[in-house]
Amino acid sequence: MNIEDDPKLTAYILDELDRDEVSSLEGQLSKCEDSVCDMREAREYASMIRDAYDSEPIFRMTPEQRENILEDSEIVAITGNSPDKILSFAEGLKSLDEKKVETEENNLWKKCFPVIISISAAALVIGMAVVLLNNDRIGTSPKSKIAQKPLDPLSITILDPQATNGNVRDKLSWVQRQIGVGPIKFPVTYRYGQPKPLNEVSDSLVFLDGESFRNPAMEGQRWSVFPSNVSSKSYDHLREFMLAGDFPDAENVQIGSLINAFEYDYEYPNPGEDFAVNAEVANCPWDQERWLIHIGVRVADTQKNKVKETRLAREVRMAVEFNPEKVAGYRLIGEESAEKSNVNVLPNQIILEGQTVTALYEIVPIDGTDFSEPSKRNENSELVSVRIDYTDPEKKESRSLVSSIPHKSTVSWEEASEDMRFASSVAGYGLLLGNREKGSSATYDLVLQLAKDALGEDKNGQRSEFIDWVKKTKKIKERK
Amino acid sequence: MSSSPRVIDPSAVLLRRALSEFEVPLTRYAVSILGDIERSRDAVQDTFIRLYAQTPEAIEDKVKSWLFTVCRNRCYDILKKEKRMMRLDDDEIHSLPSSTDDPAQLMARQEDRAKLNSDLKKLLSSIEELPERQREVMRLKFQADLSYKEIGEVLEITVSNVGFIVHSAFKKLREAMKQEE
Repeated sequence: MNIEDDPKLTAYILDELDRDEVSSLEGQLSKCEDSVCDMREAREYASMIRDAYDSEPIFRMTPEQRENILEDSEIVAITGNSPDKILSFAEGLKSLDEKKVETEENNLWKKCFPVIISISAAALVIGMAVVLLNNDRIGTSPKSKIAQKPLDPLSITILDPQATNGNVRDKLSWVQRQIGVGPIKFPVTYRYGQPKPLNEVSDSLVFLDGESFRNPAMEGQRWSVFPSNVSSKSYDHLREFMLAGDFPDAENVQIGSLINAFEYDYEYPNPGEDFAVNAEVANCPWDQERWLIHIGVRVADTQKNKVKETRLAREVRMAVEFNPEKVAGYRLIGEESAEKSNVNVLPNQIILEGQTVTALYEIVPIDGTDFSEPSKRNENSELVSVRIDYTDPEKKESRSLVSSIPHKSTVSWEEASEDMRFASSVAGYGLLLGNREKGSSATYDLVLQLAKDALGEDKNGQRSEFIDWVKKTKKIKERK
Repeated sequence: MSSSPRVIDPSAVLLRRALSEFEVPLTRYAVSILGDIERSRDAVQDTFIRLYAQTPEAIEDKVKSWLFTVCRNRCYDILKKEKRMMRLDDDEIHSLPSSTDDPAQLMARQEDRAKLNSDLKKLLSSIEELPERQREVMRLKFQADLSYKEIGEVLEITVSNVGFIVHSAFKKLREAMKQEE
């Protein structure tokens, strides 16, 4: 054959042949002694052509144009989808790009979230100033209906989507909140009757194994607001130490935020709804007397496929009301101490489209409340309800979504979802890291077992990595 | 995994990655079609805005050819609209002001230009002498680093056709370079 005039040869030089074609061509070339079969020269020419093109002036858009494009997409939202997949189209430049992307993101965070949290004077009502961007659909009202997930151990009922009323409709107060002044006035209502007035502060707590839990029967403790930790700081911090063969001081790892740094497979809201609440109750793997409530909130992701849209803000408060007839005491995992007001655990809260928020509570049941025996579970009563209050500043509407967790929905540990088991494993690890496991049966082996059994799909390898960390931490602790 | 991959909207990620990787080759490509930087910038900006409107999952496997196809179409739309097929001389392109130039970048570029040896200059002029189709395919291959398949998608021709065009152009350039030696 006239090999010199074969387009295959050019394709070979330019790495355009598949493996079979390459090996067949290389077979031919090895038998060929002609100088045209020497590919070195051809490759040199190819690289000269590249150099020639590279020597052309570098043209790019103006900074204003770039900014304009990025501005339209300023909404860097959290998503449960796997961004890794999308990142892979440019493997070669991945590491380089990553830096750029992250820098850009950091700037964006700064730019997007000057919103300062304002905290209401009322001890229970904590407002989280939240920015939800590019949401074109905030104004729609969630319909009252039952959202049932086939594999979920419990059904979620949205009871009164319009429960809340006009206090936040005032535009002035919204503007004040944006700049960090003026309280957010979410109405406080009680599903489970008025709490008892406090005579002494100690009444507000119950004690078990030397630990304090909030008592929902008492004034000021009925509601617990949980933070929507977006920061992956604790996770990054831990990871950094682990890579260096050590573990960080417990105070530098906020367990609530660590739990939230992992991905969870929560259901997305039905069309027209802004949040989906995935909740479960199961017995606590490291303490027979306690139960765990796992609350997983998924924020709707509506801004996909949109180019230019009005930026919107949404203020949100997510809270749990505990039924004092069933729950003697509760504690939000990751909260340092029940004695401190949980107002303090709410740094800049951000909520983004598609984001997940996870909260884990340890609860102590009221004497005689049996969670383990299905027959003894009260059919109709509720353990807790999750309430999400949010406002749409543009439409000046405020809304509230309430999901209840019925008593009958409690399950045994083994029946809990992988997400719940994994989150609990991280919580258990937090106990051990902070040397707070005393009185419980939490051990590294238990935590490991929990995590291993809850790997799930582990799309991004996070959960497997966590397992490695637990093993490493165990080893390091044993050595010390 | 990187520090915060979950704090990301796939469309926004796609856009940022595409910008950081393809802004320059796309703008160069647009300039090669339109012959002037201002309109090229508009075409490229429009391309990226359109990219953000895409569902990332739908185009993630073909981002590159998608970008070049849309950019190319935008360029030809502009040409059609303005009804002028004007092409600037290479020298004019080189002297076009670029507002992104900072002095350091400019100096570096001038040094580069000075270093640019005569072989490359000759090569560039040989490239200019190629027929238009070959020029476009070669630019997509050697400058923008598109695969044959991607070039085929952009120009709506078959992969073997791309291979043939690249081969012929490559052969011509090799011959021209050999003659120089």
